[in-house]
Amino acid sequence: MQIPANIEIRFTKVRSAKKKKDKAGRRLGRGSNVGENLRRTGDLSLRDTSNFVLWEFSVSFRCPLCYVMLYSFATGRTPTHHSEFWDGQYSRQLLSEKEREGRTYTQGGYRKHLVASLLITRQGDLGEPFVLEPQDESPFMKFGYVQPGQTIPALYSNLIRAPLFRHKSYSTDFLVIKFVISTRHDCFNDTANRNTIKGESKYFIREIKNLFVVGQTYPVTEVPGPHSRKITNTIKHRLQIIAYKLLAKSPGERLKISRLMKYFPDQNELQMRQRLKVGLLSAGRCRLLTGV
Amino acid sequence: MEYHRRGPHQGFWRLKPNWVVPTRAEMLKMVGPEQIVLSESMQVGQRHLQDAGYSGTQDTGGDDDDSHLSIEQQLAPWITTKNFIFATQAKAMLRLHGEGDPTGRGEAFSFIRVSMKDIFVKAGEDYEQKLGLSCWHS
Repeated sequence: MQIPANIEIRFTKVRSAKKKKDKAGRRLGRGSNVGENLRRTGDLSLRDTSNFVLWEFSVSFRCPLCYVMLYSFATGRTPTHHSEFWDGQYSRQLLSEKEREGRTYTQGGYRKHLVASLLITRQGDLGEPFVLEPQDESPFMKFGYVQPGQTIPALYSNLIRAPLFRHKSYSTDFLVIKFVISTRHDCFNDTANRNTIKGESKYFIREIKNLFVVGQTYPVTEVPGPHSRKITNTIKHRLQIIAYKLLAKSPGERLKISRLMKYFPDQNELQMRQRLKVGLLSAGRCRLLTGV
Repeated sequence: MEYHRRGPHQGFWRLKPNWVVPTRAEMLKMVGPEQIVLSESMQVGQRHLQDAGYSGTQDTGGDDDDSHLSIEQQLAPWITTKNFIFATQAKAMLRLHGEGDPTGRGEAFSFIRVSMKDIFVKAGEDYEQKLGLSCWHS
């Protein structure tokens, strides 16, 4: 972010995060699905009082799978009790001999739940707890361990796992947000000041409450090679979706290939023409077969 | 879709008649967030190699031996992630330290693959020296 010189900057007060209410008018609290409030991309913002977590990656180069965070958040993964975030904590139970024997009598699921809630109250930290049984494999596969009685916060998704280390941010450090008003929707959303102008910058300042350093990242899914089938399939489907959306927007329901090519700067046009023809044809064949 | 060579829509692409456009939900199913992340991760790695001067033609697929590739090429995300997943299944061994450690200061694991027959070299040990020793012993 570049701070303009010789221009007065005023910080705008952050809005309170919208709380979803159910039909009876009761506020849906922590247990509710945060994803429900995120209807459009603009709703995912730090310009309100919503909580946030900062993750600092400790590797100095190449961690492409880190993109996952933004995407997973945007898809509104349902967090379970206690936490409004989707990072987790792995703890391995410390069991006495007696408890181990008792295991057969107690219902596994309920027991797990009990231990989990105990752990949360003790830790008082963010995250959805996972309780590991003594015989369970380490969440970090063969490359890291959770000792009995130990709790390790972790970042996990379908693509990576990584241990997290909580850091206390300096009391003099803040998160500054610069927001440039770009659409009419933004102007309309700004209830504090109706006279906002398109192109105007607004600044917000937030306290950093949660700062974690991300340790070794362990991939869970293989990144496909440049010429793999997975990649060509993704390109094909993405091309179709973009084509459908552009068609829906265009007045005559028609489009030029150049408009599509903007989204795929690394692909060659000839190949894309082929994909546009063949891709939609084969999809049509599937549709026929399934009789839809 | 079809390309209109003549007629009122000359030069434009249009949907074929009777074509059913999938719903929003169906479209979301076509490409999941994970797929996007994976393909963009690949692109980041590919671009990195291109910027480093590799033409990108030496794309190794399958479980071939990657040792003929340079360190930079072996660090392509599609190679390191594959190595790691093989290693968790005990099908491969990783170098763990030295070149390819993403922190560059011995705080993370290097996912570069080593031959299953190779000797294990601890952090700080010299490969040549250890190899010499083991030869001498046998």
